Amino acid sequence: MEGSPAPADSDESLMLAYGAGRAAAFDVLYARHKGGVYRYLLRHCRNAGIADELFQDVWMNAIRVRASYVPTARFTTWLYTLAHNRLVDHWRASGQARLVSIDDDNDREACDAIIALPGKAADEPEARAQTRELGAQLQQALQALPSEQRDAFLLQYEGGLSLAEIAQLTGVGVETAKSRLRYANAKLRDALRPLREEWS
Amino acid sequence: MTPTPEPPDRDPMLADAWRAYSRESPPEALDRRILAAAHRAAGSGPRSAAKATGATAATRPQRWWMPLAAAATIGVIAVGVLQSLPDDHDLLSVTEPAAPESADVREQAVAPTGQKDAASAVSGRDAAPAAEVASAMKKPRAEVQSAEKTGSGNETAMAQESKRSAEGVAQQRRPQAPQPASVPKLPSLPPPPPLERESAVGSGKLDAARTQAPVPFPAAAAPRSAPSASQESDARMSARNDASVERQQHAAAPKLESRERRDDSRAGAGDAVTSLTQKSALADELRAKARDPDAWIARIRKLRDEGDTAQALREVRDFRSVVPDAERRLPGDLREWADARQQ
Repeated sequence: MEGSPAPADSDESLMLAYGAGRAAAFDVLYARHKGGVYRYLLRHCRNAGIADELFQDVWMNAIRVRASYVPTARFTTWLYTLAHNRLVDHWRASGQARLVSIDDDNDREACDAIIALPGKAADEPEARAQTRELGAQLQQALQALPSEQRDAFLLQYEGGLSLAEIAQLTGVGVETAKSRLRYANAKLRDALRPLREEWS
Repeated sequence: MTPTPEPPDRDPMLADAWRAYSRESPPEALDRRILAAAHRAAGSGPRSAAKATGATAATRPQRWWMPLAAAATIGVIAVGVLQSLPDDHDLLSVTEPAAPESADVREQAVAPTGQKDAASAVSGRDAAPAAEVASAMKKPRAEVQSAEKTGSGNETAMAQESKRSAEGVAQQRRPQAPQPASVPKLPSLPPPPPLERESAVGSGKLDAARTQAPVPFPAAAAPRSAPSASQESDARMSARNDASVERQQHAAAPKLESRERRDDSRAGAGDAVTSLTQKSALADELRAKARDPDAWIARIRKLRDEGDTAQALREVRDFRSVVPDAERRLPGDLREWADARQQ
């Protein structure tokens, strides 16, 4: 249990090590998953402040229940389950059964905030401009998705979860999760097609 | 479990676009806060490895009784030591060094005679008489010390008297040279039961055990000491100068006299050992008598009335030597009678 954990250590072994008191294991886990979880929450709530609060709650919850962690599933599934549940709690507390309605695509403030977030420093100005435009389109299209489809999309693209894991996490069948994901992909592709054609 | 397979239905073009677009990360301040909380939590109470496997519940019943068992064991040992220490402290301290000395003396005494059978027959019994001799030597010193502490005059006198006699006998025993002992071949005797003494010590009845201790069979002690005739006579002279030795001889008279008739050397050796034992008993007896001078006077008067003049005179002499205010306590008729008889 001494020494720093190897980068090749699995998430599950790192979490077990952290539960046994090895604080360095948490550093590795956090570095691996902080971005995905943060973006998952940010895309859903579209508010950086709220995303920060939820993000902190998720990780604090993981720290609190570290002793009872049992690796019955992938650590990613377990972590995104915590994030999903925290999000649902936030929706309930704020009186929103669904954070974003199907028709809610007018939140320009959130879209601007996301677009304004720093990108890669080496990006060329032209590429950066294209990325900004792509991001705006994606953001717009994502917000246009039903929350279930958006949730399935974000769990797959940010969390790297499989269809079965998404189905398990969201409490639906695999076919339903697959259908949601297919619809989400199609809508986002359609939203990006004009830009692609323009750039090509 | 960690490696994430690429979802089969993931759109590559969309994935590239998403990777290019979605690069946000939490603020550094938030990172530091969460990591600090994680380290604090890990430092405050690491989870034991046994907890995850349920070993804690399995080992808990084994843990709680261990301190109780240890405490009970220590308590029993402490009580045992406290019970045995005051009565037997000096006995235990002297017994161990006394045994080798007695073994040497036995070898010196027996080897020239070539009676190895006798030596082997009594070898198992040597430790106990040697311990008795050592305890008899040690006890008067302890009595003197305790008497000096309590300041009791009669007990001090008795203890000093007892100490003198014990040291005299010890000096008599020490310079013994190897002498051909005229001891006949001895029958093998059963070893003295050591548990009897231990149980007496353990129950706090050491004095009773000493007074009731059987007189060691002279044959058992003979090969060990076997004093010469001159040493025997010296021992007897020193013992007869002592009033307590006289009383002891009187008490052990029937046995000792018959043995002396059979074999002088055997009886002399037995006398030396027996005298020590008897002196110890005598000191206890005198101490008991000194506690009730009136009863003692009544007993002297009774002896005188029964015609046992010699015994009555010895009692008067002991009374005067032990009781501090003997002359004041002794009735006039007895005092005059004793003075007249002694003159």
